[in-house]
Amino acid sequence: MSRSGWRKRLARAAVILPPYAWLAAFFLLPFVIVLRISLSDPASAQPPYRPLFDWTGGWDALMAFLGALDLENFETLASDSLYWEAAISSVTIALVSTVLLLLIGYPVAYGMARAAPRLRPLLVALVILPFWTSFLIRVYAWIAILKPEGLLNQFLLALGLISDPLTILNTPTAVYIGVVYAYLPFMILPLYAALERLDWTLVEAAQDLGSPPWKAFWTVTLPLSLPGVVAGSLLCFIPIVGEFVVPDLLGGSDTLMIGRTLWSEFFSNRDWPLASAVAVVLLLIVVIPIVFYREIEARRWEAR
Amino acid sequence: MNDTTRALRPAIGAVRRSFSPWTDPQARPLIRFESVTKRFGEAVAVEDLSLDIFEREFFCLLGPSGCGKTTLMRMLAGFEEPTAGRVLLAGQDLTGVPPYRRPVNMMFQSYALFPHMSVADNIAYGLKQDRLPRGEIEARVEEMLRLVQLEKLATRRPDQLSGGQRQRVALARALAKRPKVLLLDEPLGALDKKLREETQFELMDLQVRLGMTFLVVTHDQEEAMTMSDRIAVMDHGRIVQVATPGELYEQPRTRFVAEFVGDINILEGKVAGMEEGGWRVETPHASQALTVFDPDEVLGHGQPVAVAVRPEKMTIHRQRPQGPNVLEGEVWDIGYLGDWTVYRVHLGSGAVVRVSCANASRFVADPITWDERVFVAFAPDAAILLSR
Amino acid sequence: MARRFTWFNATSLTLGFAFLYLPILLVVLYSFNASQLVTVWGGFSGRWYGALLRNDALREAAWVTLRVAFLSATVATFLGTLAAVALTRYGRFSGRTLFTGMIYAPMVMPEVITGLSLLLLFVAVGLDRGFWTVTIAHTTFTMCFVTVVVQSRLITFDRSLEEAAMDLGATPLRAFLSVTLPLIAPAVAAGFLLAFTLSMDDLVIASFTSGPGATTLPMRIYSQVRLGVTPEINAAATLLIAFVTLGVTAAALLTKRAAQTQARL
Repeated sequence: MSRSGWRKRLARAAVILPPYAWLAAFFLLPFVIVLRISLSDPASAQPPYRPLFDWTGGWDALMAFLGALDLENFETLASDSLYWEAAISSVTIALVSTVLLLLIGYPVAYGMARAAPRLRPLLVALVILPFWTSFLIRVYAWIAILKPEGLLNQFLLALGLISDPLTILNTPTAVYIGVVYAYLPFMILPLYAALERLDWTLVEAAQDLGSPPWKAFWTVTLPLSLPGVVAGSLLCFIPIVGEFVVPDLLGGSDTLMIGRTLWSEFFSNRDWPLASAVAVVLLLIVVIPIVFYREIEARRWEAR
Repeated sequence: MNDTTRALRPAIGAVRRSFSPWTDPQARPLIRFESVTKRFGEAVAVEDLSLDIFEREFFCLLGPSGCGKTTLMRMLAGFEEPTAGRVLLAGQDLTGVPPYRRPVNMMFQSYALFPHMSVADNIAYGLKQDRLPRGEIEARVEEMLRLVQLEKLATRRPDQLSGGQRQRVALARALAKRPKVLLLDEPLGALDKKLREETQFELMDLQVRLGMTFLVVTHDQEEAMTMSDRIAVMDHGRIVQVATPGELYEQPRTRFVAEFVGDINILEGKVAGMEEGGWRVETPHASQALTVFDPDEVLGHGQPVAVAVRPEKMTIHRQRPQGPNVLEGEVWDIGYLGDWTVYRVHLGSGAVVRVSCANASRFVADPITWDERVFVAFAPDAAILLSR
Repeated sequence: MARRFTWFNATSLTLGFAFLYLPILLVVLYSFNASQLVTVWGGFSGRWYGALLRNDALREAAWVTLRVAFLSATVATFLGTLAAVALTRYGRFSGRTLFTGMIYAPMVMPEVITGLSLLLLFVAVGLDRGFWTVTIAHTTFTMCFVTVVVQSRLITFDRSLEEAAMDLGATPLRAFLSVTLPLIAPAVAAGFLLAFTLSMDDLVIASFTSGPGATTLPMRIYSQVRLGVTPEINAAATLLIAFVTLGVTAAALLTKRAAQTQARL
């Protein structure tokens, strides 16, 4: 290899290696550790799990270490209906919320894409702004609104629409409201990106060829915005499955979600191995849509 | 054109008239491509190509998009390394020399002006990389601005310039380092038609005045014909023909060159023999064999061959003219272009030939019109025989 | 163009934005409430901001948060920009699939997983939890956002500008520093601001990876919110919202200017 060839390789390595090494150390490696601890047993010690691996013990210690690992935590998860329900309820809440987000987000994104071009950057900024405003505060805002003596009930009572305060806080309804509210920007932005790129003369062409507006929407606009629909749905679905803050603040004690389960196993029960096992299960649930999303993104990239 | 150019006018003519180093077997080329091949994965961009370009030449690489001409230029600039073969500049092998160490500069197709720098800073950029003293940089920038007549716009940003002005800045920036070779990638592609024509002649004058070697990549044959000393026509990664513009037009070596450079009618046929120094070619398009004087071709009896005739070298008649090479047909279309009128004549064989006639007078009493029976004729030395 | 802005469009925009902004506006409004009762309007007052100033715990948490956010965003911007360059410029290098996977995954990964896994790593290597562990954790998940922002700018970047610089004698590094970096600077700045805000905003990952003495503002707010809504938190939230609004506006102006420079060329 020539001298300039080496120089090029060196430059490449200097660019690629730092972020690569960082992510390998602080993103990839931790997963391996989670997997390993999910196979361990809890212990009242520091750190609170067994077995620990002794680097100085050599081959025998390694074999003893591997022999002490087992699937006991996963058996616990499988046999206890509490965990099953949490997993199923997480996926259900995520699915229903995603559909709700689509139904609410699409008309908004559509309206943004049809607004005058000079207004559009402002509208985008208005969507991004709450997305950058503390997630915690946005969820917290709903506590004051949804409380039995809260602002929503005060409002409805004053209008005379209800005679007794509604119980919304600490119910699944509150969780849905909170999730939809918190994730709405994640849904609007990809939808808008797809709709904004859309060539509106295509819609005109469809109408010119005899489609009434609703049919032109159904046969042209919607299919062409499908990449945005898929991207938005996945961007919402995946984090909602593992959501912790919303169910914790707005849901009742009966609102089971897997992220919350993990949190309480870790912080309240201090059962690190079981929490790790829950993380592994949650990872399996979300990895399927992530792989799916990566495939779609890669295909989009190559199509460019 | 400014006063300096006018003063230099006679000198430029003298240089242009007598310049032909490629005919001199003693001349050493400035640039040499030696069996250069470039592959991108499976695709072959340039295949086993050899080419010599001489000092002070205005040389054009001409070809359709994707023919490898830009890749060839980028190998000289250093942005691509040949897969096989070598590129030499003034006898020095350029293999492994990075672009920033090569004494050639390029004017990019998009101009690639740095949008965050003023015109003067753009021109000074290359000089600053050489760490020249500040006074010298300023003097050189000044000189370049004068050369392209942009002295008043030195502090402007590229986005405040017109297309033509940007082109000049790009030119000045590439010339500032006084490179051994100036590479120009589609230099006039982004300009409108009028400006393009003007700039063509300015580039030619500049090249002679500076005594520099210019290598231009273009897909526009008119541009290449106007400016170049020599043109290399490329197709599918190979050079099809290297010649002066005149040779290229009047003596194209292959059918590709004949059709790519200018307009031409092609009549397929077979060699029927030789008579009085002329080849006789039998073709379904004419009732009698055609006669062609083309001393360059050596052909065998019965060999398939094409008779190629430029439209302006054909004449159109109401009555059958005397002499050889007469085709008979019907006028299908007439295109009036002002200086020329183009007739599309449908022959009995089904083929269509184009004949163009200069409109020498303003009024014609009884012009040839649609659907008329006409005869098309051409002289034996007006045609070219193409066997490839 | 079929650009008819219908009543339907106007209504959906109005309702959509009302839904997005009403809750936030209520928090801001009630931070000026004189009454101790959070849901009863007792007149206009700035007393909760005064109380906030005297709340040492909150002030200290805010200071920790700012330090973590600044440091992690700085490192994340550096690493994220390098990653963006690697992804847009180096085509197919070995391990690219894994690399892109590691870039995209942290953005959608449930925070509880990222938080737990990082904590377990820190415990396994014996790193004491505190300021540095939170900073490392935040760098990891925010650098991916920086990468995406910078990458989208680099994709549209005209590479012939860099080639022109090299053609004129600049080494690749000099070409990058003198031509590419000044031109993508708005995107890099936007990436930094995004990383900064995401770090300031994070509760879950910080809760896992933080230790004694490194309680961040979201953690502090969370522990108070669990006990109920207080006007003081409303005031803190309002300040946070004002801060972010400023940041986002600055970022928007930066990108707008960049887009204009680009559009004029």
